Amino acid sequence: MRSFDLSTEINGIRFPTPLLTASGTSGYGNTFFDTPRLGLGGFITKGISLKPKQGNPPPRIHETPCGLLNSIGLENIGLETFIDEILPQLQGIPVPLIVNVFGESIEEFLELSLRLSQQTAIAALELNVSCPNVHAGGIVFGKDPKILYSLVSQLKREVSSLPIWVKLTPNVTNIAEFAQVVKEAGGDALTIANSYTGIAVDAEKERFCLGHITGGLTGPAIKPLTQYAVWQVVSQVDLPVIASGGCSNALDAMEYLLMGARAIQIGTMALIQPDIFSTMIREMESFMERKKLSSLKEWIGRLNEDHPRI
Amino acid sequence: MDATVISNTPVAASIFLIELGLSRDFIERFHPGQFSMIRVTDTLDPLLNRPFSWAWINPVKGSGKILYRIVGRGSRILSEKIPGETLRISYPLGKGFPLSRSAHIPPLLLVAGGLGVAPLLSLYTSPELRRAATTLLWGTKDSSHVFSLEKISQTFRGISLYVTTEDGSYGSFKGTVSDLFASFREKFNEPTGEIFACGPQAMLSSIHEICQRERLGDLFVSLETFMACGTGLCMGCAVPSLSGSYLKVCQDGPVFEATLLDWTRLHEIF
Repeated sequence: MRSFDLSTEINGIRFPTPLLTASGTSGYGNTFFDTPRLGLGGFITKGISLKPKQGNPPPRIHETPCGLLNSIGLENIGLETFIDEILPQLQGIPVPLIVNVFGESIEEFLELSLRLSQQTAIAALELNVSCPNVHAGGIVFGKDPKILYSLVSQLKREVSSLPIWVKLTPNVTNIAEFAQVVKEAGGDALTIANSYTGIAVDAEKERFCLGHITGGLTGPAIKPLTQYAVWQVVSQVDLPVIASGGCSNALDAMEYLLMGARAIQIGTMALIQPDIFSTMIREMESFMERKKLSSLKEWIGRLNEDHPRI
Repeated sequence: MDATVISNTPVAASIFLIELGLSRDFIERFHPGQFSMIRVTDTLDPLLNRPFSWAWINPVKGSGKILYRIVGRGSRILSEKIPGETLRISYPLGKGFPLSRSAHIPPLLLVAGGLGVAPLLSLYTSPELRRAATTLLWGTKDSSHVFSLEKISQTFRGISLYVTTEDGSYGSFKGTVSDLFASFREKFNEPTGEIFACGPQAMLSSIHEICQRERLGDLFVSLETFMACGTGLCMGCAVPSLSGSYLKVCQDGPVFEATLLDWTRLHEIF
């Protein structure tokens, strides 16, 4: 078989393939590479907060048709342990490292980002803006354009060394409006998108299925919704987009790239098929062969050229 | 890894026994009490892999057996697998029973509720444990849920087994396995060894209560929860610990020292 160029570039960072892990589905990275992860293009950590977080009460997961509803509650070890114990183990990983962070105030986001920007081996930061801002009456950062603007613009002013990716929530009326806000605030790339808020009820036991009641829906079930969100953003906002939502095979990935995403995050499906990255790359290569493509760059955004905005 | 179905047959009401061919590598890694994630379908619905405890590992034949009940779509699909088909399964996962200690501290008491018997049976895979003095108490709802353990392995022919059914339709006891455990303890004058238990949450909770009340030896319980990954990555299978934090069933368990768990919260949650 011919050799194919599957690499992709975002903010000057070269990823050997466009397949990245999705935050929260592959841990911190210290155990993930115990088995070879052929085909992986980049690693995105579980979300890190300033202080450790215990997460939400169980049950934390509920299976739905083709989907997974989860309310892990951002359980994580906190910044100090991440820097002291995890980061040293990530120095030699074979792909670019992106650290996902979240805070409950702009100050927390700032401190997290500043501390992490002083560390080596980190290629970019991804902001989870789907959490409430305690200083603004609990309004979710990613649901208020003004708060989102001040967050991203302040981070860009004070943390100049690392590209800032913003992972937007799709639980808004018009996601492109928020994507445009990120661009105007100086953000470097957009992850489209986080999970969709949902609930599940157990009629037999007469209670909610999740301990926290609400959860985030992920998995193949949300692919058409995320594709819509990605299309809205790529057709209206000039920032690199990393697609994240329901990608389960090579064709899904090729669809997202065709629409203009530069990379794709694989989350739920990687929990189920640990070798999905290598399987997908093999299938993507045979797709490229059939389409007579030698480089993904010929493919990315092709759909965008002839189609009007929505 | 891929595992070939050797047999897959019903052994009692809605209960099946599946035997899968396993690699030498898999068998060498196995520790009693561990489980594997099994992908029951190539399609996206049902989406998640299912965790199943191993009931028996046969190193000579290169195979392992799983007992399962048909409770939902995943287990129904599994029950339709025929010999020769392959299933994608994970290597043995989680922390099993603390075998090295217990092998030297007989007598060991095993307490099983329903299909909770499965991981306890896997203990007999160990030759040391087969020689040790062990007693298995097994409770089920009624006689339709009782099956001969010899269907799993001839090894079980000689073990000291006491069966109870809630309606008294089988065996000489009537009541739950917790009742049996309590009355058994009264007659049990030997020095207290370790107790390994597996079964429904409520049953484990009452075994724990009895152990606490009577200051019995160390109780280890094997828990069952929903899981997405089985490898500690998704943090979906959290259970509350007494220290206030959460433990992961897939990685910190499925076998836990009972005193580490917050039983009050466990009871509220599951």
